[in-house]
Amino acid sequence: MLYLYAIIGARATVPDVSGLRGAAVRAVPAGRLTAIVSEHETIEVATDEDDLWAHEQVVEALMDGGAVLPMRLGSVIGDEAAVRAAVGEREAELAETLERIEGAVELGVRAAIDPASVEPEDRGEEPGHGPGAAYMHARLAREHRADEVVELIHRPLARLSRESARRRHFGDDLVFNGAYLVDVAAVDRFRAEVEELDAAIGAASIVCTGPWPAYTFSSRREES
Amino acid sequence: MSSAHAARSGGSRDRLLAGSGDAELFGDELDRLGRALRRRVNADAEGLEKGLAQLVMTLIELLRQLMERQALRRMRGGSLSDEEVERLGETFLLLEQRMEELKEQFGLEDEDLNLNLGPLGDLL
Amino acid sequence: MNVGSRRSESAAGRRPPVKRDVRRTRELGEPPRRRRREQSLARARQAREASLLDLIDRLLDGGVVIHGDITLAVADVDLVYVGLRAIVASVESVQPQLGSSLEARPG
Repeated sequence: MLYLYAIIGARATVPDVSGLRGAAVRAVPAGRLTAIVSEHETIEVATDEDDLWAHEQVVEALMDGGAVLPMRLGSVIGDEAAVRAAVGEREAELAETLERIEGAVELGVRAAIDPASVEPEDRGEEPGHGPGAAYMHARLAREHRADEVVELIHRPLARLSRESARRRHFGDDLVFNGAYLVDVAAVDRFRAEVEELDAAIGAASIVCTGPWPAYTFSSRREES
Repeated sequence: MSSAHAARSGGSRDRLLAGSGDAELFGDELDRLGRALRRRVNADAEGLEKGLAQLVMTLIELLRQLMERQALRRMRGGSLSDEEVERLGETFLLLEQRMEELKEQFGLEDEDLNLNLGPLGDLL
Repeated sequence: MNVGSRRSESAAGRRPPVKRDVRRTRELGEPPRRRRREQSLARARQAREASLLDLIDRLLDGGVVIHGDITLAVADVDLVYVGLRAIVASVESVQPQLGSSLEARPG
């Protein structure tokens, strides 16, 4: 079985890096593209630190040579013929995505919003409002204020990026999770902006991680 | 310019680029990760029962959050009448009250009401 | 809008309250150098944890997924989690249905 790490353009050499469980990494040409794989008798990926970083290490080593489309964790395919078929099926789209992300990295931004700062002063009570309506209006006001804080953070960062996306977060509105596709040359400026925003916006605590391969911008899902 | 310029961290597992991440505010998320990476074993019967109650209530809490968000969205869009808003609000308030009672009954805290998705962190 | 920005401004002025102090409990009288070292170790660990969190998020929820004879070779128990997350995600996107179930019924 072949474990897949990434898809890249046509490339002559593969970096000297080992993959999961120390397996050797090799290139499988597939039309205009190349799939990077390692071979295993059988493999079951554990979501523990070592496997995760082993996968990541391969993807990042490839970034030295140009744009890289990272695979989702755990993609295993039968043999080289199957690889060629699967990649060939989407060659045009994959090639286009590669072009889109060339020269850029992904940065992740998380912000935690202080609940006290978005809780409305009044409890939504208005004449004619029952307790249910008061609750709903207060929640709405809270959501509104949280959105405002998020905009304060997101807007300047989006301006520094080629593309941006909100990553899904279930539950609480008070956590923001964004992904930004940033030109390599703009990364330092982006970092500085996050530091400034973190210092200036008392209602939020912001962290930025990266640089990452363009995971968010390689996947097909629509992010709002 | 190679896209790797900023990328190569020499295999470092520290990718914090900016921000200090006020530990108090992020403490919860980071704690969850710590717990998520450790497999938990639930041996005794009482633990199992608590585990089930926990699961059920977490899912209820999840649904409540999704429904509330949906209701707020419709409120924002103006497609709810005043009466509907009042009724929905009362329902959520009632549900909240009921949840408190159940939590007490099962000896669960707010932090317990979260489905640990293993490596994916927590559901909520 | 003015009201909005004023609100944000006052929000911006307030620092978040300390939520929990569990990890920061210290004995009184600890030498400052040791405290600083502990703090920097804690920060380093937080940085690695935050990084791992973002990595996991991307590896499991992002990246290319190609079709064909591909199997998700992730350990069983983790697959359940992935599936559950997918279910939740699809519930999120089923908004219209959820909405209609909240419609007020006559009588």
